[in-house]
Amino acid sequence: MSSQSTNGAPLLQVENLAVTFFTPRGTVRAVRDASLDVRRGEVMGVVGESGCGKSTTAFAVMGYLPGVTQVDGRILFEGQDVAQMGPDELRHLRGNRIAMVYQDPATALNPTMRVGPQLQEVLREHTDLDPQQTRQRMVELFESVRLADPETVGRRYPHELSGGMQQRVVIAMALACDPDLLIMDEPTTGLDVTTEATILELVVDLKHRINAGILYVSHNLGVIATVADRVVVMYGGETVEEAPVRDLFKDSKHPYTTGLLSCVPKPPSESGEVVQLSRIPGTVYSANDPAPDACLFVSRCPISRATCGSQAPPLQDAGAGHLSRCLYPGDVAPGIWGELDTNVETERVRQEPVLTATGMRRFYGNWGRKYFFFGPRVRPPVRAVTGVDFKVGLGRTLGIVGESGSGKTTVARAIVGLVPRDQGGLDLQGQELAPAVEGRTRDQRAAMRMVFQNPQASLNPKLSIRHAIVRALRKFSRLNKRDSEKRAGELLQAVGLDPAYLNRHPGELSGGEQQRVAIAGAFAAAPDLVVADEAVSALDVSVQAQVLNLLRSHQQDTDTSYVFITHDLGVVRYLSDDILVLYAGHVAEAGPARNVLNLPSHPYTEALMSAAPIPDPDAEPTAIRLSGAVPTMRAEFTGCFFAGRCPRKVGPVCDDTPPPTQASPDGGHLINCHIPLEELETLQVDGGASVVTEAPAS
Amino acid sequence: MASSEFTGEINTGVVKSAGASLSALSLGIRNFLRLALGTTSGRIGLPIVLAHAFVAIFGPWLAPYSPTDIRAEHQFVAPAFNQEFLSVGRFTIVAGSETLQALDNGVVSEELRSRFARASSGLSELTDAAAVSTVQDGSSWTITEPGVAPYEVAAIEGSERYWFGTDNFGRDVFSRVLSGARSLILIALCGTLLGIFLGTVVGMGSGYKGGKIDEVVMRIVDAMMAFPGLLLTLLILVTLGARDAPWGWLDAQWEAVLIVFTVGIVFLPGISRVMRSITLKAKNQEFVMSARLRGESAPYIIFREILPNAMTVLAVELSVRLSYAILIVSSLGFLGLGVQPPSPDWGLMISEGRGYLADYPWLVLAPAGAISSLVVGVNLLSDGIRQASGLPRDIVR
Repeated sequence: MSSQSTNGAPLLQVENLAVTFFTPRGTVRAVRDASLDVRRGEVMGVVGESGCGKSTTAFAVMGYLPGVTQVDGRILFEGQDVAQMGPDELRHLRGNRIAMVYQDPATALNPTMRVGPQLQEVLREHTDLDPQQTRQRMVELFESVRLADPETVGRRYPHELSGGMQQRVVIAMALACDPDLLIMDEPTTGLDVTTEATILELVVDLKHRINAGILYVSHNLGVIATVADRVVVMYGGETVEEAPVRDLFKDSKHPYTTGLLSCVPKPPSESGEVVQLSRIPGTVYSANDPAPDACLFVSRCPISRATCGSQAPPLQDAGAGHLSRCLYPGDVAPGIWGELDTNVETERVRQEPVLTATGMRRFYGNWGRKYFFFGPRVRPPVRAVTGVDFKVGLGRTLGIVGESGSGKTTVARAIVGLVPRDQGGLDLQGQELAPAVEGRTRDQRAAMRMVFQNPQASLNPKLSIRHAIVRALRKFSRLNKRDSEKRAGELLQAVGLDPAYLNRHPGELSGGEQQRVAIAGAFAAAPDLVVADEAVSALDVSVQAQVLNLLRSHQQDTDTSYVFITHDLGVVRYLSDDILVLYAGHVAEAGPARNVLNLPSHPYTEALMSAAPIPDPDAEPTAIRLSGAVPTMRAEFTGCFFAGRCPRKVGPVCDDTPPPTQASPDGGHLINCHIPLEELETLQVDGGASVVTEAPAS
Repeated sequence: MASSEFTGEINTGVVKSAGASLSALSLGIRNFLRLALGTTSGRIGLPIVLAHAFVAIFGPWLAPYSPTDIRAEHQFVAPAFNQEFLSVGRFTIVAGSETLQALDNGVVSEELRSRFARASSGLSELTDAAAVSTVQDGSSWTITEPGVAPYEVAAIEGSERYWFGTDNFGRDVFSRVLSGARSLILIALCGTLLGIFLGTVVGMGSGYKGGKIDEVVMRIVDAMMAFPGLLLTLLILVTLGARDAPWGWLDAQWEAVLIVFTVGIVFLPGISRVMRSITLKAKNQEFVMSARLRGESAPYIIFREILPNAMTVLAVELSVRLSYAILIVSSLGFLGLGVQPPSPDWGLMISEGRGYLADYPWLVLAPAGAISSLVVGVNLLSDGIRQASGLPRDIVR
């Protein structure tokens, strides 16, 4: 392999790439004008919202484009035009020179084959190694992606590996032939934040070890800040800005980049101030529309001038190493998206809580018996939630955080009654609630509403928006048909949508608009409590900011309480007054947001915070990493629920004694851990627990 | 003034709502056409199906003859587009218009002569065609030839058009095919619709309720599935068909009602399984949870929230099952368990004509062609709809 220096000729050059798909439903201009280059030994980040052409650009480099497609512009790999290559050359290029890591490791691996043979298949196809060498190389590769037990991990099937381990196997397969260019398309998007952190570390590590260029596509600014050396921002199929990562985050020269950055919730400052999120109006320029003779961003831009609407800006040098597709890069400044209010967290007057849960428990399934219906009980039910207590105060937000499998969603569904709890009390303003929603009264149902994760699925695709809202109004308020129609229009306006949307179907709306309709439906009957289960997780960052602001301002106006469930700590920080950290169906830590987010923390909370990517390239790298995944909770924990993965395990006491609940002096902040609070604090201030490698999921 | 304005307002209201339902209907039709015409097989299948539907509706009026009229003298007439009939002695033969022309000109060709000879065995073979002479008198000709008594040939009843020929009773096969479409298509369609209705109610209800109820219902459905369809049909028809209709007014349609009922029962297991699996998938979707949180009743959720999402699958189900139903109904007709003679029925016609298959194949070919073109058309259409809606090939077992 040639060893060119980092600053040598670019490995990959994409010049004015345009990709147009001709589909039966019309022409889709997925990429309009994309230019970027990747050098050896660097990570080129591509960032932008969904529908901006990031993935299409990546696939175009590989030459994987389906259907009737027109590709304009040039893609040069080591100075050679990919479009001029014959099928054999292209095959060689794809297999041996360029490798790709896809978003979902579960579908990238063949579920019916052990992972070892899958990797060996790649080696056999592309190298001349004999079987003995192939085996050896496989072990080397597994080692190089930091898989625990590289000798034997190849004998496992994909489903026996956790998501993070699966993605490591996929990366090992991509590295199999020493590729010169590695394309990673959202490789951590489907993974938990803790797993994401370990994979990102691997990517940074690979960059130093292999002499290859990496093209890293992601929608997450935090991820890009962590891994990338240089960044390209895409908008509406165009590359709108290119700059080294530090310059981009510190001093961006395109208003879109600035807007994206100000949409990401930031950690609160020392004094507890939370900076409001800015709001980029409108939606991404549609790929179905032809390019106008204007800037594509003009309708959403806060600093647009008359010329922006009559002249398409070229990608030009904007000084200080920036390329920007803006006519007035000098005008771009952090403040252009409006003065952002800072909300100082006000300690609300403690009132009677709206909702109180005591010892809420939910197990799934029954005991499995040895001979189906008979015999000894051999398989215990899954202990999804085991005795969780919490309170939601009037006008306050309770944030529930945890990895997938920690029982967050079960708690949310048990609150509203979709999944009946099997033990414990749930008290709504003094009334004991029936476990199942079918057993609750109309007023109780009206008082508690839910917003779901996936806006596409939470609205019936075959029924109009009118149905979604009017039906809720008719069910809960005593309005007649005409009044509820009128009220539905008002509700839509309240969430920033045109009342004419009533006649539309969910398919005609964007994801953010759908989620706003779902929120309008939830607020239809003026509920006391809204349970939001990952309500912003599926949304793009600018839309997420719109929805978060909407929720926040609504709370300030109406004193509605929220239970907000998310895996994203940034979002929790932004919205929550109180936080409940769940792990494996147990409460790890609970208390007011400020206390939970500051030291001392439960080791699990600490690990979660440490893993969350921060959109700041200069952020200090954190050291706590968690291995594996949340265990399947069939057996009762003999000791601490977190002992299996805890980076601060103190000894056998963790394995054989359940942790005591330690309360802060004022009693509001609870930590379930064996380590005394003072000791925890000193440990955590010093930082520095060892980095653990990925262990198999149990 | 004021009152006229008031009525005006009311009128617009009415027009609006009528317009809304009309536009919903036209949207449904447009959606259907989009699916049906989206693929080549749909584009071929739809016209075939529409032609059959046209025949089913207007067939009895289009039929040139009564399907049950017996004409002993026109037995086994071969299909042709235009026939003239001549009587030779007590026999009738088919002759084209050029034959009459030839007779007018005094020419009796060798071929015509041999047909006369076959029709009326009293004639002997002719040796000298030139000696024959004809004399026309009105619509009959007297033919004189040496050595034979002059005989009379008469054109009878003008010309006839037996396009598909006639059967052993001299009934026009074309008219019988046209008239038989309605009962077959109607019975098959009603049976399929009944099956879809029953299957939807059973499958969706059981899938939505879940738990033990679902378990029991599905085991019963499995048991029904294990029973061969035709056997079940025969069992029901033979036991119930022998009895009288429970109500007098049903007597005339009793057979048809029984067949519809049987087809519905036979289709129930398959359709209910498909609908159950759709329900199970939809049940955990968030819009259904959302409806549960609103406190909607189970029937509301099943029929108002889940069913609209199953419409494409139902359309494919309907069309695939319809072709099965056509085959079942015509098989029953063939076995004599359906419509009773002399009613025109395609299955029955095949059954009646099968004895004459070697000599008069059109008795079987015409109804068989009608059945198979209908089945092929329906299958093409259903495959087209399935492809256009992006459903997998094995959506229906």
